[in-house]
Order: sequence, then C-alpha cells, then structure tokens
Amino acid sequence: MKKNVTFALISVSLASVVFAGCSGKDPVADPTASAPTDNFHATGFPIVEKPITLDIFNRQSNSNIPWDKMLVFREYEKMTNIKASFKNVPTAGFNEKRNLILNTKDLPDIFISANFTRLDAVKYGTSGMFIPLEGLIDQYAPNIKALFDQYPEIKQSLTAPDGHIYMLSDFVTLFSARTAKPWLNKKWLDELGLEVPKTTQELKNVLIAFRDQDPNRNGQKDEIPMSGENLGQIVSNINGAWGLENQMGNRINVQDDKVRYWPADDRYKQILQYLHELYKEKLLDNTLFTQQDTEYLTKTSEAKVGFFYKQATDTFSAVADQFIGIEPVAGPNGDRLHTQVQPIARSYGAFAITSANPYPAESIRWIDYFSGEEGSIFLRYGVEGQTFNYADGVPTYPDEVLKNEKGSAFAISQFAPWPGTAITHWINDKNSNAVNPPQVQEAAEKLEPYIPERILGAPLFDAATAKKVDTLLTDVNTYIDESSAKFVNGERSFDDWDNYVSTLNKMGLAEIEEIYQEAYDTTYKN
Amino acid sequence: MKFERRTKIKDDQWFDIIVYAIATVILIMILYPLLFVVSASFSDPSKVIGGEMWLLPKGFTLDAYKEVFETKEVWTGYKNTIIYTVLGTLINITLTTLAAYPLSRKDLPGRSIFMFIIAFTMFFSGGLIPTYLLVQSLGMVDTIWSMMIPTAIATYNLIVMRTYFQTSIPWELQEAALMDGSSNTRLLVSIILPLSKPIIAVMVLFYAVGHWNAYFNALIYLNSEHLYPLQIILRNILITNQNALMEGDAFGLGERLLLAESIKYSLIIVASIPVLLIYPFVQRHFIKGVMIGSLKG
Repeated sequence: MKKNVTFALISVSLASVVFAGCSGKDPVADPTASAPTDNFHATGFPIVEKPITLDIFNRQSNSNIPWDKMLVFREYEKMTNIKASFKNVPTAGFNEKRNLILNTKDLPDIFISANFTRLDAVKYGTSGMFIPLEGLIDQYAPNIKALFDQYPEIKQSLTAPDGHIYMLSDFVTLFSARTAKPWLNKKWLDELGLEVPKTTQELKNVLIAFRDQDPNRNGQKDEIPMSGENLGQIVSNINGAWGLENQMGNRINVQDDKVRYWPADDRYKQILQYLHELYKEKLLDNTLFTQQDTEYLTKTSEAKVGFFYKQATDTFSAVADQFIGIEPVAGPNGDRLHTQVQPIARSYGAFAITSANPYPAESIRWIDYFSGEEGSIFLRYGVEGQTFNYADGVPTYPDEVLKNEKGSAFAISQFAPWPGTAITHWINDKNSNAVNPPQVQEAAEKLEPYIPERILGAPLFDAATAKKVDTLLTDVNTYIDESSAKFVNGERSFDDWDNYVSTLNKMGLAEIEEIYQEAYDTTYKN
Repeated sequence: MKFERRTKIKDDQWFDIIVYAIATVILIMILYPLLFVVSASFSDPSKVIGGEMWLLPKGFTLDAYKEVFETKEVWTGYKNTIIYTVLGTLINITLTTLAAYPLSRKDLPGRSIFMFIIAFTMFFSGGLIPTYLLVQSLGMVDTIWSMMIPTAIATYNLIVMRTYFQTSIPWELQEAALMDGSSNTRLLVSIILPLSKPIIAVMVLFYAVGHWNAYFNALIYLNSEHLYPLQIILRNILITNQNALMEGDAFGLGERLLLAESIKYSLIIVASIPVLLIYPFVQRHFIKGVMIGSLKG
C-alpha cells in the first residue's frame, strides 16, 4: 500500500515535470542588458565591493565534506566578497531533490555539478528557468572565453539549437584525463618471456599464455587473462582496432561529413565474434556479465588480471608498477585507432545560472576564475604552503594527502571540491598530477598517435528532437546491449546476426542516423 | 477401527513432516541472509567480495566496526534518528489515539462523514509537489518538525485503532462510566487507555519502525547535514552511482566503492540492532493486537 502511494506520488511528480516542460514561456531578456550595479568590479578582486550572497545548489560527492567548510571556498569568499551559500545535496537521491526544486520554482541562484542532461538544459533553458550565458561570458569571463577561442569545439558542443549556452561543462584539455588506457600485466609478460602484443591476434596469444602458463607462479590456474567493467566498456575501447569510433557520445563514425551509426555494421559483428572467442576460451573473464563493480575493482587492485582498460591507476595503485600502458592493438583489417576519448567539454551541466539570480555578472565572474591557470590551481590544490607545494614548477599535494589511508580523493575532498563532482574549471597538464601520475601520462602518450583527428561531444538537440532521440535510443541501446551480451556469451549464434540487423532497422536505425547527421551539419560542419 | 486410527496417525505424521520441512526451508531462506550479513561484518572484506565467505566469518576482523564507530556522521545520524523516533512516535500515538477514540464512538455526530474524508486520503493525496509546497509554507523545511508533523497520523493505523476501540471495549462499560459522571477525558484516560495496551504497543512498533526507517521525507525536506537521520547517512555511504565508473568526474569513486563495500555489513548491523532488540518485547502484543484490530466493520 505504502509503496503504491509512493509510486503514485512519484508518477504525479514526473508528470508535472513533463507538463512543466511543455509550458513554453519566452526566454528571459538578455541579462547583460541590465548593467550590474556600482558594487560590481568587472575585473580584478574583489568581485564586489560590499559583500553579497549567492545561493548555490550543489551536488556533494561521497568523498566531499560540505563545500562551505572547504579551505578553497573559505579563502575564495575573502578574495571575492561573495558568500557562497551551498546546499550540499548528497549524491544519493540528488536528482529527486533537484527535480523537486525545479518544479516548485524554489530556485537557487546557481546550480553546480547538478547532473543535468542536455535534454534538461534545452527544456528548462527555453522555458526561461536558466539564463543564456554567452553574452555574460563575452563580457565578464575572459578565461572561459580564451578557452572557447582556442578550442572552437567547446563552444560548438555547448550551444543549444536556439543559439544560446544554458550550461557549462568542465574543460579538459589534458588528453590523459579523457581516455581509458589499455593496461597489461608486465610482470606476467616478463615471467613468460613474451613480447607486448601489437595486433588482436597477438593479444589473444598472450592471453592464452596468461591462462595456461601460470604467470604468477603460485601453482594455481587463478589468473584472469582479461576483464572489464562491462561489455560496453570493452567494446568502446577495442573498437578502434576495427576502425569504429565513438563520436558525438554515441556509436558513431564521422567521415567526410557523413555520420554513420554502426551497431549493425559488419565490423561490429567482427568485434563481437572476437570477444566471443575470448569468452568461450575463458580468456575474457566469464563473470563479466554478473560481477559487481567492487569485485572487478578488487580483482584489478590485487593484480589478478592480465589485461584491462582503466583511465588511471588510482584504484590499483598498490600494484601499479606491475602494469604498463600499451599502444592500441591493430585489428585484422589493419585498422589501429584509439577512439574512446571524451570531448574537451566533459561533464556537461556542471554550471548554470537561474532566472532567480539577481547577480548574473557577479556569478559568471565567480566561476570564471577557476578556468584560468591560477584559479584552476587554486580550485584543485588550495593554498600554497598549506595544502600543496610546488615541485619542479608543478603544484603537488603533500604525501599525507596522496598516501592517505582513506584514499587521496577523500583527503583532497577535505579542502577542495573536485573529486567526484563536476564544477566548471580547466583541467590541464599543469594541474593534474594527482589524477595523472607519470606512469599514466606515459600510457596516454602511447595512445595519442592513434586518436581520431577530432573528438565530437554529444550534440544538443532542440526539445522535440531530444525527446525523440531519447525514446529511440532507450529502446535501441537496450536491444543492442542485450543482444551483444548474448552474442558474446554464446547464448545467441552469429547465424542470427541478420535477424538482429533487421530488428534494429525496424527499431529506427536510419532515423537515428538521420537525426545525428542533421545535428552534425548544424553543430560541427565547418 | 484400529486400522483406520493408525492410518490417521500416519497421515498426521506425514502432514507434520511436510509442515516442518516447509517451515525449515522458509526459516533457512530468512535466516541465511541475516547470518550472512552478521558473518560478513566480521570478515575480511576482500574475502567477502571474492565469494570465499559463505556462512561463517573468514579472516576474522573488527576493522569494519572500528571504521564505523570512527565515522562521525554515523553518530550524528544515530542521535537524530533516536530523537525523531522517540518524539515522533509520541506525537503519533497521542494524535492517533485522540482521533481514533472519538471516531469509535457511535454518538459522535457526523461520524461517517469524518470517516469517509479520512479514508479518502488513503487513496488520493495532493501529490509530492503540493505536499512539499505546504510543508515549505508552514516553515518546516530543514527543521526536525518536517520529520514528524507531516506523518503525524497514518490513516491505516488510525482505522486499526478505531476498530479496536469499537470492538474490544464494550460500549456498555463506557456507558456505565458516563452514567457515573465520568467526563469524556476521564473515560479515555482511566478506562479506555488501560484496556488498550496491546493496540498501543502495536502502534508504537508500527510508528517507531516507520520513523527508524524513514528516508524519503528526510531526503526531500532536510538540507543540513546535522539533521540527517541514520538512513540518509547509510545511503550516502553505501550507494555510489554504480554506472558512474567511466564518467569523467569519477576520480575517487573507486576507492569509495571499496570502502563502502568493506563497512557495508557492519553498518547494516549497527543500524538494525535497536529495532531487533525492541522487537521481541513487542512481538506478543503484535500478533494479538493486529488480530483484534483487523477490520470487522
């Protein structure tokens, strides 16, 4: 009974979300038109003469302490004269709470790290709840503007179809932070006197040796040659060996301005066949489809796995010296790409200003500082001498942070907000040695020659198209994921491939391709 | 005659055996997860994750408990939950009794209209957002009152209690008291309540467990960390977004996942012990009370 009531409540609230989306009000007037008061300084610190307060609805990650208690924000308040009053909403249950706030129109001044999707941005943006930011950025945000100028694809992927920017993202120009790396167990490799594999076939041979020749020398066949978080993660990392890319946040190749959606492609079939072989011969972890994230992390952290993909070494740091990053393997058709790369504008929805905010210019200046060189170091490292020091000209956390027994993310979260959240700032090669130790950087450099020329972020659709895409992709992705898993574990024979393709066609493959082509033409085509 | 009786006994025996067998299976099904959690809380986390532990603790350690007891939030949560449970249950019992008793009296004018309106709310409500707006306008958002006042009376419990008053306490008895000059208040305090211990015990259990597990209201109404009840703290520690591993802002998620995994079971034990301790004392009333209170019209 109680459950039903809760369910009814939730459905009612969801319905009202939908209705709220339909009531299309005119977007608010351009906020830059109303000039800020005398209290405001357009450059330099403090941002305001007399203190003001901004209400900020922020998602607090699991490792974060409340943001207002963090050294970074306590210091920043003194610098700017702006008091940030954070809501500190925990990650668990965050979306429910955020939707409630949006629907009761009880708006804060700013949303940070609020898990907004592109659909949310367009829906709430066009209904006037978020204000357009592009004018403000031009006038008051020199750092963000500089990044826009240097990397045009950032602005392209943030701009909604109506020409406005409603939300910002993180800006990740550090290549290493944008991609997973292939990690190979070098200790096992050396133990067996093997070469680093260069092709998918060689990789298979190495995995066979890992399986059969007891490389950890404990007399037991307990080695797991290859594992992964899930099938999709493995596919998106290895698909470059068959020339398939992950453009526009989807299974998409772009060549000569032509968008190709490839889940029905023959090359995708070949990938699944390859993985099926690995699975059948127990080279690919047979618990892949059932294991929990924690089980997988434990396996890698105890060096029980021979080959896997992971962005950095943070979860297996104790055994990291046993592993090396390798170059991507070449496929049977000679393709050798690494295509699982996130766009520079990562974590869309990291920052938005609402229509209830009386200080839009002050707010954009407040966030802009973190996208500059000095400000990004301040946000990530805190105060020199207190929470970090320079080593070889690069800011570095002290050992009690990096080697904290509760984990470095936990230790950093005591004074800086970025672990586990998305707050708009610049992540570059000068401020990231915690996530990017030399070993990870080295692995990234091996991948760099093989990445596609351009990495396109997911596009912003107008509200109607976005809803259509959402519905289409929900069904299609579920079908692809389920079928792929069955092809790999052998539950479904590859004789059935034609059936799979025709079902996909019926589900609207062509339509998806068309929509993305259109989005490409309007967003990215030069 | 003799033969027949013997088969009867045999039948009974078989019946008993089957009943016991089924009961044992059900008992194991219910007991095993409990035992697993207890054992896991004393085990080395990596052995639990690796699937090596299945019944008794493997690699006995108290680290998980140490970790839990050193977590400040858990204690704040504990304190808050106890406040909400004790104070909330007190409010619940008082208000539910005060509403249920008059409604049980046949001489209350407009009784059926009141009952209809009250029962109506069981099936239709204003919905989440209007309710939130109401609580907000009453100024209760982010105060301890939002955890108690909006849920002060549960309609279902109200009806159970009313039915108990109606069916278990003879009207003649109350009439006699009134004839002797007792006021309604006196009647309630001196006669009805002493006769209603079983149902009150049941209501205390219903409401207290409800408060102990209350999570959704806290999620919606509370914003300050120092007000969070235990369940919210639990959720924050234990539930990390499982699909976020590949996300860009996932730095530190892996280590949190492993930490959560290692203290998960001890945390569950610590959070459930008070309820487990109270239950045996209320249990005998529980069965009796619910039976008596079951709807007879």
